[in-house]
Amino acid sequence: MNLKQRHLWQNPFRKNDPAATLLNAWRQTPLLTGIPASVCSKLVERTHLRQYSANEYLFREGEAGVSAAVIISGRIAICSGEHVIAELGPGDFFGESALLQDAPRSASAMALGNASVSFLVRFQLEEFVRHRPGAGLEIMTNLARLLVARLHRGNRGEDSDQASHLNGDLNNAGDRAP
Amino acid sequence: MNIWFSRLLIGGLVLAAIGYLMAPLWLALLLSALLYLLLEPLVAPLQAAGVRKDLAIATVLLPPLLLLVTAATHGVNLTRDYLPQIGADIEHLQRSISLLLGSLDNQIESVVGLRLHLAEQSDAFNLLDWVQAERLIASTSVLGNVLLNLTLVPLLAWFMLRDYRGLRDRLLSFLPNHQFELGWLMYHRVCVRLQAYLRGLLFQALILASITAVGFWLIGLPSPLMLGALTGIAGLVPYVGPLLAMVAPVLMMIAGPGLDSGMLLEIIVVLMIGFGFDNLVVIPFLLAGSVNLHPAVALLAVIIAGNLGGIVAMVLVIPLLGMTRIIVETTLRGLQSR
Repeated sequence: MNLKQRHLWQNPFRKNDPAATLLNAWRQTPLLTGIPASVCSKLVERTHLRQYSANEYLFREGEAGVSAAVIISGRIAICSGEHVIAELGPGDFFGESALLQDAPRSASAMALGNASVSFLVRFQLEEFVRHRPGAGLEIMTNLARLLVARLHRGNRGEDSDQASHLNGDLNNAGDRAP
Repeated sequence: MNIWFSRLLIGGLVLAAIGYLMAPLWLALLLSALLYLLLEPLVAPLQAAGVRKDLAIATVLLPPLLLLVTAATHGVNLTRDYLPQIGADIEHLQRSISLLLGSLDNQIESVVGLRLHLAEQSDAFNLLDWVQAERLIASTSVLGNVLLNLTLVPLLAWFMLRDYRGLRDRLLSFLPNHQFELGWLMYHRVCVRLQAYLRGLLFQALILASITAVGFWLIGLPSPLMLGALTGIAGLVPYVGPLLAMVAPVLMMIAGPGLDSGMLLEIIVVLMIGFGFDNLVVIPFLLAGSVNLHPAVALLAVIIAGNLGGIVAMVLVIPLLGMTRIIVETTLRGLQSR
């Protein structure tokens, strides 16, 4: 029984299936829009679920970033220096520019309480794309769309706080381009 | 900072201990890693075309497996045919060396007026005495170990192709939260350099073996394919490879057609062409910059490794030093960003 079937048939009886929760969280990100559930589940199998306690840093400003993340539970603060730029919650997707380049993080991310965050590492995404070029093309197109949308918002000069709360095509406050 | 260095030190010691315990399997691990690096890029397109993973791995592993079985069968037949005449060949080799040293001694005496008695000294070292039962038994156990290693290669390569990524993900998931991304970055940098180096090394050996095999065939040396293969393997050893490569063809010439200064010159020319092409074309294009070590450091490391662990250690020491350098650099950069 694959993740999709499990999600369809077991949900009425087991509402807290962690694998289905993880898959749902990733499927709702702009990165996996339009990707079939069976392919998504293969990619989500490669993600890393990590637990954080209050005030623990996910990453710090200036560190090399290699992964994008989705919050599964808890709240995360995005800080630049001493200032909190945004507060993110379950389902929010951030840090996606690290999926494309070796650039230092432009902001820090800190757990505000106990939090559970799923990471997708760039090198694993590259391996996935190599093995599934069709789905890989769609994922990369989604990533490009996401970054273009962010660029447009930046050009329009929208406030990053507002941007971070728009949990649709763009919720990337954790790793804004410099 | 001290905690980081103590962790690095402990990590290094643990890796050294594991390396020491795995010493009998180094050859198998090295060869299967090379096979993995060579075959992994072929598995991905097959999987992308919809072939199941196990079937894709079996498909790419079959040709090298058949090649290995054929080579092993050929090697066993050759050894079985050759063993009965090994005593006569050793006597012939001893006589040829004695003649060579005698004529060299005469030439030195005619030029310098000094007789070194090289032939008498070489006669005092009897090669047949050296090939004693204990030594043969010892070499049989070495041969047994090599055969065991070779048998393990396809099996290890299969598991590497099938399970390496899952195992890697599981190992890296043990990293603490604040070192998770740094660990992945370090792993990736080491892998990219190591893959480039080992792939380059493999192609370097194949190219060198091909050129010298053709050269040995042209000058009429017996078993040119085997000599070419040995030269390719010797070429893997940095800096002292050309000297090692001289040994087998010169011994083969002395034991085979006999001592001939013309043929000796031809052997040297073939090796010069092979290693010249290797140094001028192959290394700059395939291996340049893949480890980026100072030549003096590399040379010292090769000599020390050769003294401690033989030829396999001489081949492995350069990529190991390159890996260490990347790990230390990435760790320091990670520390500075905090």
